[in-house]
Amino acid sequence: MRRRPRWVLAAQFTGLGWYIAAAIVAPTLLGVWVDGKVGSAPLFLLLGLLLGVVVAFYGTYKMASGYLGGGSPEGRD
Amino acid sequence: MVKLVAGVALIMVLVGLALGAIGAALFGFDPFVSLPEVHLAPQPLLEIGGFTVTNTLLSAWLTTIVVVLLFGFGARTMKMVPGRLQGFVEMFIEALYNFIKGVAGERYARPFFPILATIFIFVAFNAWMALLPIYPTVGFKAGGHDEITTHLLRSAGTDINMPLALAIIAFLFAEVWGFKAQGFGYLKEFFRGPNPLDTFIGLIEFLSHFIRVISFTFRLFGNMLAGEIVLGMMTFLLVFLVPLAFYGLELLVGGVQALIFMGLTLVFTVMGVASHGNHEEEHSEAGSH
Repeated sequence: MRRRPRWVLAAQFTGLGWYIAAAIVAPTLLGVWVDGKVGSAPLFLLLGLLLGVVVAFYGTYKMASGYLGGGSPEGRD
Repeated sequence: MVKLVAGVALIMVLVGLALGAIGAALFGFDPFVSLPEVHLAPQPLLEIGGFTVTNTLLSAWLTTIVVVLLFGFGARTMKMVPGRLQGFVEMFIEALYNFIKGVAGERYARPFFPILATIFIFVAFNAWMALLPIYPTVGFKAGGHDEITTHLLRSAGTDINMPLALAIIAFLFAEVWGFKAQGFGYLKEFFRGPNPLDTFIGLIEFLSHFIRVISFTFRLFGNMLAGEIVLGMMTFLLVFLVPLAFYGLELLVGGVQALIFMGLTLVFTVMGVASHGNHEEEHSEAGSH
């Protein structure tokens, strides 16, 4: 992957905060909705939250690892 | 001279403070500017055959017309020695093109450019045009109100439909290009193998692609709406001079948000098209520069 200009890196890291928020909130709300339909509260809320945290961590790790670990700067989100 | 300017500025700030909501509360009179109303949903203006035209939609149309006229006239009669407008348009387009080329390389810069540049120009001009005084001051009064109840124009970025539509376009653009460049090999990112761990990582990868749409949408919507509220509140609280600084900030925010939207779409698309073969090609291309 070609070396990205600083502007693009700044855009990527600026976008990270919203990515983490969206990754956690979206599956959690989906879980709340499923709980409401099935009546299994708070099972799917917790599952959604867990999945959201994993996705947020995965995305952050994939983006940051390229810059911190000395690997190729292949950002994700 | 500097002292005079500083003195006038200080007086304006103090007068603004006195006439604004804080001064009004202290001295017991009505504030110079009324408390801004915050509407999450866009306000409908008229209905054409069952299709509702809202103030944000009208604003998006206006932005489109302005952009088309500005860039259309700028590029209508291209001269070797450009005039001011042509010079501005050329500089703008060249800067965007170089930005995209810097990330995507020579091979993909041209095919990526039209959509990405359109996203940048539309988002940026939408935000910048919303800073014009006609946006908060022109509208309709209803129900015997002294104040405007429905604004004629409102930044399209503050209506979640516009960021969502752009996010879906950006998402489809990245996915279609990934598929176009790698064919079915692109799906390997999601279907990694029969191993349960690989399956789980594939699922997370799949989810992370969809979450981009949500994060794209709320990033733009949140920033634009927050900007509108900040400007309204600062004008309500401090009336003169100080809100100008926030107008300057919003000018910057509009450009930065457009750059982030375009930059992230570009990065995701480049990642989508970058197979191993492309990696090698890009390395050799980067080495030759």
